[in-house]
Amino acid sequence: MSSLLQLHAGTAGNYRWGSHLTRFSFLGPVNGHTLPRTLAGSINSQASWNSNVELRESLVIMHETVHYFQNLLTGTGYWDSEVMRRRVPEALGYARAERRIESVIPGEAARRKSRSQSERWMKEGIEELIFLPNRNLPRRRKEQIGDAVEACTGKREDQRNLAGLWIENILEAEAVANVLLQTLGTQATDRQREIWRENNFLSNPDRMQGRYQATIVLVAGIFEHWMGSTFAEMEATYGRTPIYIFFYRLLALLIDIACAHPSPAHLAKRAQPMYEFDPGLKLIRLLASLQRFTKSTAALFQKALGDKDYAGAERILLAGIAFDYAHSAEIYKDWAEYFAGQMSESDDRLIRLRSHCCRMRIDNPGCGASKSLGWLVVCRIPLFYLTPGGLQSYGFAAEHFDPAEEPLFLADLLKMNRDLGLWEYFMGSGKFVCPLAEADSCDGRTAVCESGIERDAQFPEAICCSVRRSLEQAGFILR
Amino acid sequence: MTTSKKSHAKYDIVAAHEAATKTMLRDALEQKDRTGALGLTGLEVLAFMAAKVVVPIVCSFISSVLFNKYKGAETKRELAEAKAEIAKHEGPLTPQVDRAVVIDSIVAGLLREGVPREVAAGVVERTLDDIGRDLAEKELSEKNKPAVKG
Repeated sequence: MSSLLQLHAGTAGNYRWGSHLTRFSFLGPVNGHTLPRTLAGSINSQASWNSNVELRESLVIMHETVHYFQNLLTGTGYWDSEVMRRRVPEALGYARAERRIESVIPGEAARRKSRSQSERWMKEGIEELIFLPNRNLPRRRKEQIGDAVEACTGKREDQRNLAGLWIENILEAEAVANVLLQTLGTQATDRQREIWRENNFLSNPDRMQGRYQATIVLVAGIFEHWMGSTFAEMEATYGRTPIYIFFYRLLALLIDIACAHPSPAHLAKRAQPMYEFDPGLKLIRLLASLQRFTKSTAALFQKALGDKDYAGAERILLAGIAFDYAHSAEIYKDWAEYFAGQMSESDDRLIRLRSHCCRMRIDNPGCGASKSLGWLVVCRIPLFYLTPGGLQSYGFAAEHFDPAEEPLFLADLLKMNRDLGLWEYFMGSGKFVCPLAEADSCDGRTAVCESGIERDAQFPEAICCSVRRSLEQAGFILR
Repeated sequence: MTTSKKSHAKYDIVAAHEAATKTMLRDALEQKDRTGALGLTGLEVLAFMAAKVVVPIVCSFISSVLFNKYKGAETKRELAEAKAEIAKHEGPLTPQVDRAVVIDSIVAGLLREGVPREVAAGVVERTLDDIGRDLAEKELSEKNKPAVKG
């Protein structure tokens, strides 16, 4: 089976969806100075880099933090986190049963039967997730997006032309947009500009791979149509930087609204099917609404955008859509209630974090439309990240430094990452890279714990491996 | 006359080794970077780093002056200038700088780029060996070629 959340090889940084943990490789060697330096530059609108590596660190931390925010500040992120929270323990239960069957009934036929059951389950589990990499996005979802486009335009498009509406591409486009919004127009010396130009493959969508470009290209075409001019003409009229800032601000807002997925209870209450909230499907409807603006509506919308009245801008957009999408404010109020209920049943620190972020989002609507680094400080959201040197963190509230609280948070964070890794491993979709080894917090780790366990026998002995110990205590037979 | 000097200049030693060094760096990276679904590509960074290794090494086979000029090249523009100077060189390519000095200087540049020391040292030493061997083989094959009468 192909991997569910598999990596892109050769990255400067990445975010594993649902992990709440950003990862930076040695190509983006983020350290304790990176965030303060980048934040200071961003606030003062001044380039904060003086070398290639400093620029890369800044771009990578901005980009990956957007993904972290997508997980913590949007309905799409909340939905998937809840699916994982429910499905991962179930999946591990299946895997345990599978291992037990195989240990008592050896043979290829038994192995095939038990594995095919868990693979079927895996497929069902996957289809509950909103975020899936392009290669794992079910054909059914692509067809539904195609249907929605046809309903808007009256034309059946080839699926390859609709890649801009696939969730991975949408999330990458929002990350690119937010990096550019934090860097376009900053004051820089000639040397800093040269470094910027030489590394623009990390931020300029024209020079990036397809998944970073697809949504931007699609929305840019519609934007030109909406404005009645090409980008070249708009640059001549308004200036290059202002027009791109306006475009990326609009793009980021549209994606944030598209990702405002309701909770299961909200869907049930309104008797609305989940597929209507696919971010790609919602995004094309938002774009169609934008296209149909009258002159006066367009003026009102532009004013709302200029005034950073994101709630008002969303109301104008939703009014032009036939489907009854709830406003983000209502969706996040409902999620906040959902999390309050969950917190009364569990003291999981990650639920607490999601609950906190959801309340912050309600109080600060701007943090959805612009997922810039500054919101870490304003919304007091801790940032945890893995580097080749181990686990690091930034905190922005007293509780982030509370010696009683921090270990509990870290324990929940690593436990969740451990279980996500085991989920993929037991479902046959990847190696198990132990987060305890990555975080440099396990004395018993071996080289294979970090490079990736591929067979049960490679888990170190229970006496020194807490993962094997936990699995065996839970009834797993690992041979 | 023989064609020895001309063919050294024509053989693009930098291009011949950049890809191999990039692969070495990528392999080392993949050992250290395994999971994730949403990421920022670093492939072009690897190409840049590979040039930062190969270009000064080749300079060290031309002259210590050229090596010192480009051992700390920080931008693509500087690396492009170095490549142009290498292309202009027509003499034999033999070690002109102490091996330890070459390794230390280039490793220091990679460390500034964030590459771990063990990866940097391994990649630089292997690239230096590969280039030295390649140049020695080229030199030998040129010597063994029958002279061409003009």
